[in-house]
Amino acid sequence: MSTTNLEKIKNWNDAGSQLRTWRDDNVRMSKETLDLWSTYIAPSINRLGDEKWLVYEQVFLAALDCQNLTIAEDCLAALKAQFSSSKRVKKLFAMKYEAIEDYQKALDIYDSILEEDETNAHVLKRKLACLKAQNRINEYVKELNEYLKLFQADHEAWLELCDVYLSEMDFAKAAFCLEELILMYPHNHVYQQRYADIKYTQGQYDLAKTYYLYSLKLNPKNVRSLYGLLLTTANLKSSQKSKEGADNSKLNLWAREELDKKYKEVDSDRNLMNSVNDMFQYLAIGKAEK
Amino acid sequence: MMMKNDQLLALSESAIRYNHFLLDYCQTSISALSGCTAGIIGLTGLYGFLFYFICSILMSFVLVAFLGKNKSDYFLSTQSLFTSTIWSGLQTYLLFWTFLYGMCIDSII
Amino acid sequence: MAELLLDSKIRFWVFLPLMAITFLVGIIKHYLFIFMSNDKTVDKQQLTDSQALLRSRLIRENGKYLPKESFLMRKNYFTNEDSGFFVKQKRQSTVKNPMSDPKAMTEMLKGNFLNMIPMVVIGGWINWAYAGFLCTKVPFPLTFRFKPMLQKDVNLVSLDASWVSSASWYIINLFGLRSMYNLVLGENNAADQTKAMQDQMSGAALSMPDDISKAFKAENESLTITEHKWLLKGIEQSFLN
Repeated sequence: MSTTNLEKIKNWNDAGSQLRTWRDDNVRMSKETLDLWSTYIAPSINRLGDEKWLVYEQVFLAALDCQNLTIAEDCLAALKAQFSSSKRVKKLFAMKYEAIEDYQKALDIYDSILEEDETNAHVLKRKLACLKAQNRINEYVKELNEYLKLFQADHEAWLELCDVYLSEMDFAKAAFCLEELILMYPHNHVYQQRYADIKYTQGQYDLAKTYYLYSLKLNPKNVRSLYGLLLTTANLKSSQKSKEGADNSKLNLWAREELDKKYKEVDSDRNLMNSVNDMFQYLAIGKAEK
Repeated sequence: MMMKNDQLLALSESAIRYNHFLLDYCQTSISALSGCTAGIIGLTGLYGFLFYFICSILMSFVLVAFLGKNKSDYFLSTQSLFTSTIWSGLQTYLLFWTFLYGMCIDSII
Repeated sequence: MAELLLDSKIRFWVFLPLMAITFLVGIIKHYLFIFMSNDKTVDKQQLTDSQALLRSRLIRENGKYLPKESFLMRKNYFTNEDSGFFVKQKRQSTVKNPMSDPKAMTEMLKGNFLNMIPMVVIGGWINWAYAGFLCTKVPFPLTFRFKPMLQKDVNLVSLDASWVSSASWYIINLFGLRSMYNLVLGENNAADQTKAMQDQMSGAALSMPDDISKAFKAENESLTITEHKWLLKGIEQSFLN
């Protein structure tokens, strides 16, 4: 959301609808949320009607993000007074403990919620987040795998697991996770491109080339894919002969031209152009033109 | 938001469903409105049906003109714009037509 | 035939109320449904099963975007003859006897309450209160075949088929207002009772099939016969030309 839009907000009503959009779109503008809260909404919270409980929760989470514990306490107290036995409020309590790094207390609360409702995905995910926050990576991976056995079709969890494996340099397993993501969202060019990145790193240039091409087909503006294509084809060119080799050099040239075009489009200065050309040369890919 | 390529066809299922929902929405509104109109002006028999088909075809043309060149981005075939909802709309039309005809035309009551 | 004349009171005391009742009952049903549906807790087993079915369906549909080995690996995980997920998991059929499980019984009661009771009660009440009136005339001529449809419980042989009786007017409203609910309440509303009835007939009312072992068997079969055809093969050709 651009700042010009925020400047238009003049009263609690605008602020409320702005928060609603953020809530619906899962946008995490924590700092801005807190600003809106303290300037416009807090003085006239009761005018929001039943929506105010959702706003309390949203502001509470934003306050935790910004480590503003006084606002967080206020929101939590209001929610607690209204919904004394709600699991959702209990979860928020535990999240407050997480924020002050009292993980044991947080985990106790989560476990008590799970006793009643063993398949509450939000709470299971919070437990995982506790492990990650304490940097217990091995346990984290193990628990995440357990979680995925339950929720085989949860794409966020697969994405998270993929990131963890990548940070551990376990490329084969990360590739598996990305394959799951591709199954769920076959038209997302970023997933295709990331899969190609991993395959490139593993040295499977043929596969990498295919998936870079596919991601370019889905989004011709993906510059990272263009670079990826450039590198894979450069690697393949030397190792293959005959027709395929010729095709690869054609693709290589094409990627090169596309990249050149992109840099010209943004009208980059000469220095950048030169450094890009230097880089191409360094990679022994092609000759600089300018 | 759909993407159409020469060979690979990448379609977002939820987008298709949403587009169809909107099309349905237009059709229902048009059916209800034209049904009310037909009832109030007291069309009977074939003229009433003719009126419905003219209205809904007119709506399809307006949609086509409104989408202009981007039409193929939103709907796979132009034909579906015209035909896919015309029968489901007829039910609504008949209801409103009969209702307002019964309410307004005193000669039968 | 001499033209029939209807008392104009019928218009205001039968014709109009019937339409209003049908419409308002639909709206009330929608809000009752929202009010009564609480978040159910699912047990672990059910969750795993439905998620596995979902994933297997995705593999069938989008497997063409994966390299062959990756596809076969997943297919094997689910359908291997000795150790496949669908083969190994022995689920007893989960069609519970509702009498032994009070929770299932309340759910069932709620479902029935929201779908069946309004249909029966309102329909019965309308039959009792408004039976036997002629309400209106459709503005187009019809053949005699339509008589039983439009003139329920008015048995007059010589009456023109365009006349509509009150009971039939209620039924016409019931179906004709369906798309109006979409307009007023948005998609997937609960007021659309005719759709709910269709769902019940095909057994798709719940996202969770009643008999999980049957669903597993069906999914196993359809995944087994799914062949891998790599969609991305030869993709460079479209770039080379």
